[in-house]
Amino acid sequence: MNNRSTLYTLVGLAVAALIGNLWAESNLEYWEDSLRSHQSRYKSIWEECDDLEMRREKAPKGSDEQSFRLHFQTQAYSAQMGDINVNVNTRNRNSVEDKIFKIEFVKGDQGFRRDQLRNFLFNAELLYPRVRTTSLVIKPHSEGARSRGIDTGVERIDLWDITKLEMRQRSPKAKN
Amino acid sequence: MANSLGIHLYSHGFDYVVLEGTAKRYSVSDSGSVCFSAADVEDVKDVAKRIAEISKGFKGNQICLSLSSAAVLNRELGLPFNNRDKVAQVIKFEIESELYHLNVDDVVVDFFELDDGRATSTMSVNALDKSRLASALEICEAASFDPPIVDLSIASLFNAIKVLPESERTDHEAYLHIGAESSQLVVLSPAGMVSATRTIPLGWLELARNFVVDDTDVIAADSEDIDSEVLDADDDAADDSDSSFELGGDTSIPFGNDFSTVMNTCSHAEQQSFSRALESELRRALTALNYSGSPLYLLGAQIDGLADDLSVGLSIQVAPLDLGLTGPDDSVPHTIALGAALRAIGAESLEMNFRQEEYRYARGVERIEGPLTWAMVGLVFYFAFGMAIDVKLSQQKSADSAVMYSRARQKVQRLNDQVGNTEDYPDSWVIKNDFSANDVPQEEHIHLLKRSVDKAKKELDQLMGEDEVEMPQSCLEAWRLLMNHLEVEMADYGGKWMIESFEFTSFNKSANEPAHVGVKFGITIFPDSSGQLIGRFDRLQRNLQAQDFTVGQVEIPSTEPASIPEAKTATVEVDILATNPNVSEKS
Repeated sequence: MNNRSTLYTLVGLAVAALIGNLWAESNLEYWEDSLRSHQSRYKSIWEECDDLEMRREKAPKGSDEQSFRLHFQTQAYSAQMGDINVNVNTRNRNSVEDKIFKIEFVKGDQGFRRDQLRNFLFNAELLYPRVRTTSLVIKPHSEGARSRGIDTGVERIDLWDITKLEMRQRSPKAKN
Repeated sequence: MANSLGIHLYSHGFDYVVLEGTAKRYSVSDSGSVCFSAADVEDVKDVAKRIAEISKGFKGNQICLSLSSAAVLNRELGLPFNNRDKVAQVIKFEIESELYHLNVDDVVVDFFELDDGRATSTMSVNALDKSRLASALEICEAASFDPPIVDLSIASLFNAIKVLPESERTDHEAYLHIGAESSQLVVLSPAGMVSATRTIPLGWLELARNFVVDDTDVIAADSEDIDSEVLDADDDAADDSDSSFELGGDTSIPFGNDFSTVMNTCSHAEQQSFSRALESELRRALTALNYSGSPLYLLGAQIDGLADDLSVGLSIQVAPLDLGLTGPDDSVPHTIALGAALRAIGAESLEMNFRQEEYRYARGVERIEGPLTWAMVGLVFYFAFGMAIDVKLSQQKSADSAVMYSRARQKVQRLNDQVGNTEDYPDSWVIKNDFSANDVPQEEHIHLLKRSVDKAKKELDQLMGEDEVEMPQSCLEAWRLLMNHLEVEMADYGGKWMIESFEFTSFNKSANEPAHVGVKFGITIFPDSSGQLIGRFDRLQRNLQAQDFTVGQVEIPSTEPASIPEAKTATVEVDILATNPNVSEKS
């Protein structure tokens, strides 16, 4: 092989090596991008899975009346407020549907402390989606004198009668 | 000091001359002649090997190759101009009509101007068969050199004659070079320019035609008269199919005989016959050239008695000519090779060069061939090394990506296992995490996995979320806001105060009002230690009105005495914007 043939062979090899090098660089860049993408997505997936795991535990597993009754009753027991009766009405309004829950406490004539009531309302709202307290009337507990009420300014313990409690869940209407 | 090499290559061998110096001042450092054996000419590589021994060490631009002008078609052409560049543009078209038996695309054409005393320019046009040029360059390539100049022996003879000191010529002078395969005749004008040229296909190798050879590959010559051989030269050339390369010589003459061997072996009768044949050819040529009476100088092979024979036969003055140059051992350099070497060193020439068209000399590449070769070697290693590193890194990153995907998939799988193991979790909460059936690359699977997790999150958001719905405001939140305010408001009051009742009602957004919670609460305030109560309700009303959460007017319709003396009680009516700041967290 003479010099010219050697040179041509080397030029051919150099071109082939250059093409190979460019391919390898491109391939490396591709895998670097891929790895960066994997890193960001891996972090995101991990965080979302943790979030899902936590929120699913607290999420309502049903949306029927029985589920709501169970939910409110559970919160009432947690707040040591005894059994409750829940009366459910549904009202459609424009693009939303309201479920209205009128709650009566069976042991309501014994009166409840305000912290009990707040605890009940807080958990009832927090642990079920889109639930709000929409009506609440409380008066100082007056055992045996409910009809005339208690005199104003008179010293009393922190017990209250829940005259009216209404909660509401508002959901968007299902789109057909 | 620069060297130059001139090679005169022909079918039976080659002559060479090495010059040292410059175009103006030079000396012959080496000179010689090599005869090819019959075995050599069977293979181009063998021939090339013989030449390579001589050309070794010479750079491409220091070599001139001179081919035999025998069998090169020569025509004279009259043109109205003599500018070389302009003539070069048209010469091939002009000569095409003369090449009636040749395809103009099969020849390379070059020319030089004749000083024939005519008013118009006369060009001596030479058409060299491309196959001969290709054969010669193939030999050179095999010998690992690439001559930038390929000239003809007739032009090289002119170069060599120009070595002679310029004297005042009063008339034309003729120079005859007797070569191995052919003889060249050049007639110079009084101005020292070429007036006419002829190539006579008769060289001293004719004396060896009847030699007996052992080589069976060589066709033995029959014992015809040399004259008839000369006349039939064209026919013989057509039969030359045994040689593996074609340089235009008569290959029917036995190979492997140098000049001294031939002269020692041939008989006197054969020399006489050769002299007669040469005389006959010369007479024909000189008559055609209209040249008579002037001296004829002999160059090349010095055959005893030839000058006298020609002088008698032609009736002109014939004399051997010494160019005045000698080699290192006082040998006379070969004239054609000397002319080629002079051309290579840049001496005066006829400027013909048959390296044209597809055989053009690539001078630039030749110059940088060595550094370029090393640069290419470096580049090959550089690129190959870089490629190897990149490939290795790519494999590593690919493996890392695969591990990352595997772990993410396992995380999702644990979540799915939780769905399967928890009784009240709906099956729709299972997140797809197996994409092996998808027709997407492995490295894209994490994207699909992320999309599946996003979808699960969106579904849970829709289940829990409030973004799409305007929610009623919470009485609990209104209660918290109100009590926080009252704690702050009454903190600096020395007297006692107490809440008598609460009534919260949430109102939806209307055309006139935003969504809010209407609050009515009863409050009883006792006088402080100084017995003062005046203005406390007004202050309460005023400060409540100033709160950010208050919408509309705060009203206290009336204050009434409480059941306890000096204490007063009132019902306060206020609308509160009970936007829960934690609502997004709750969802």
